[in-house]
Amino acid sequence: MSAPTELVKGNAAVLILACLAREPMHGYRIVKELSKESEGYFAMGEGTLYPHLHQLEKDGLIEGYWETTPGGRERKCYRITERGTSELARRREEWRKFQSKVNHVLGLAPEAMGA
Amino acid sequence: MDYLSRIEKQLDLAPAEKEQVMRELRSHYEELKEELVASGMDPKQAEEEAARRMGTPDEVAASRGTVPGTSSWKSALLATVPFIAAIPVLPLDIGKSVSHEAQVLRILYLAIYCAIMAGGTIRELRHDRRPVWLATWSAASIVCATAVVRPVLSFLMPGTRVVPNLVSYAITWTIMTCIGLLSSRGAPKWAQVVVVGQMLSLLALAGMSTSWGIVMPAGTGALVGAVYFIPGSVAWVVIALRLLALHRFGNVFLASLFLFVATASQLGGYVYASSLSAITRADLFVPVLVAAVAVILFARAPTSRLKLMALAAGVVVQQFWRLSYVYVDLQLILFWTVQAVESLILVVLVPVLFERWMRGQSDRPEIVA
Repeated sequence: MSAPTELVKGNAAVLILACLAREPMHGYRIVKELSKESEGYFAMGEGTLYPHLHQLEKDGLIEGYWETTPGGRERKCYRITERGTSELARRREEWRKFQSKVNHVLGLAPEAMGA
Repeated sequence: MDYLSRIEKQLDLAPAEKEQVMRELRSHYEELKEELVASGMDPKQAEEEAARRMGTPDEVAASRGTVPGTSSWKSALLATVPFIAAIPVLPLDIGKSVSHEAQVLRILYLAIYCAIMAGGTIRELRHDRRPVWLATWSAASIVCATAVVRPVLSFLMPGTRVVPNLVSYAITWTIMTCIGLLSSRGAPKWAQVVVVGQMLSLLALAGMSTSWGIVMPAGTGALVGAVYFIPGSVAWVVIALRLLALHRFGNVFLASLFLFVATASQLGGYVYASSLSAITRADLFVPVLVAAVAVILFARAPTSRLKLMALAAGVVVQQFWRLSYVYVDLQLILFWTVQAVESLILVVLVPVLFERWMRGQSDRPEIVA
């Protein structure tokens, strides 16, 4: 079962930033990482990933650069910027707080002190 | 035609930007295909599977619409068609008697214009596409549908003013209310109630201020006239946001462009209402040409900020032009100044605030499954 398309679309930016925070990647690798890390849950039309990448680039949260693989193929890679790192940290903290509160309300886990 | 060529054909981007996007898509597609073949898949099957995983050419091309970018010249010029095509029916005969044949020709032209604008709009909506020119064509089709009512009624009821005005307002707000309600399908009930309520207040204000002979205190007539556009503006905003900003392939700046056309079209309405008999061709042509240039600049601008600046400049230049030939009349100065502020709020502020609200919504973690 995979996540509803519209929900993935609404959160594509933070998912992409999280991937790029580990290391620079090109578009195809980002798609594979997302699918692998989520065990197939976060799947999106691979061609529709690029508008999100380009928007993040325009917003200054990532930067792109072209490189040539050993096999001679060129591909565009992306790396996260300082601004992107701050934005990711902000969204992570937001998510952590939200998750903590929801878990508490649902009785799934004790709320962490100071969350 | 192969998969990538079909995407390239549908991508509405300036050549340089299109080339960059295609370079990236090609690289992804080729790498995906190679991996599938390496895993043992037949090359032909690998091509099909790669295309399936990338998304249909329609989806991939249309998804670009979510990111404001430089449109092609073809799209940019198509977007100006509603303005240029409206020139033959600009009201150059205010205060003069118009022949029967001229009236018929004008009505026929408006009907054909409306049919073309509406036809193009419906076609793109049915294909689930949101090209930049859809914003101007869709707004123009609504404006025209409401604008054609008055000349038809004047033609059918020559020599009268009150009844055609009343009926024309009633039909106009019925059309706008229906479109507003259709556009807000799926929206919370309160949004639909707001649309209907706003249109009813528009009708009440319009009826009171023009057709029922209520005398306004000196200096307030123009202000009331400007204020009465506000309720109608709510319907326009609802339509713009639902049709263009909230669509999966749209963006909020297309909604800005839609609202720019809606505000630019108010020129014709006011000319009819004010009976400026000394009006010249330049008085009407210049705002139309300014609007067309603003639309081209919007379509060709590479960033969202430049796009909004192009529209804001168009609004300001148009209003200054109008002020330049009514500067002796304080009421009209007041009217156009309030209009300028309203237009800037609609075209620039509302979409910007809406986009910030949308970003805030998508940041909320509860959206993630």
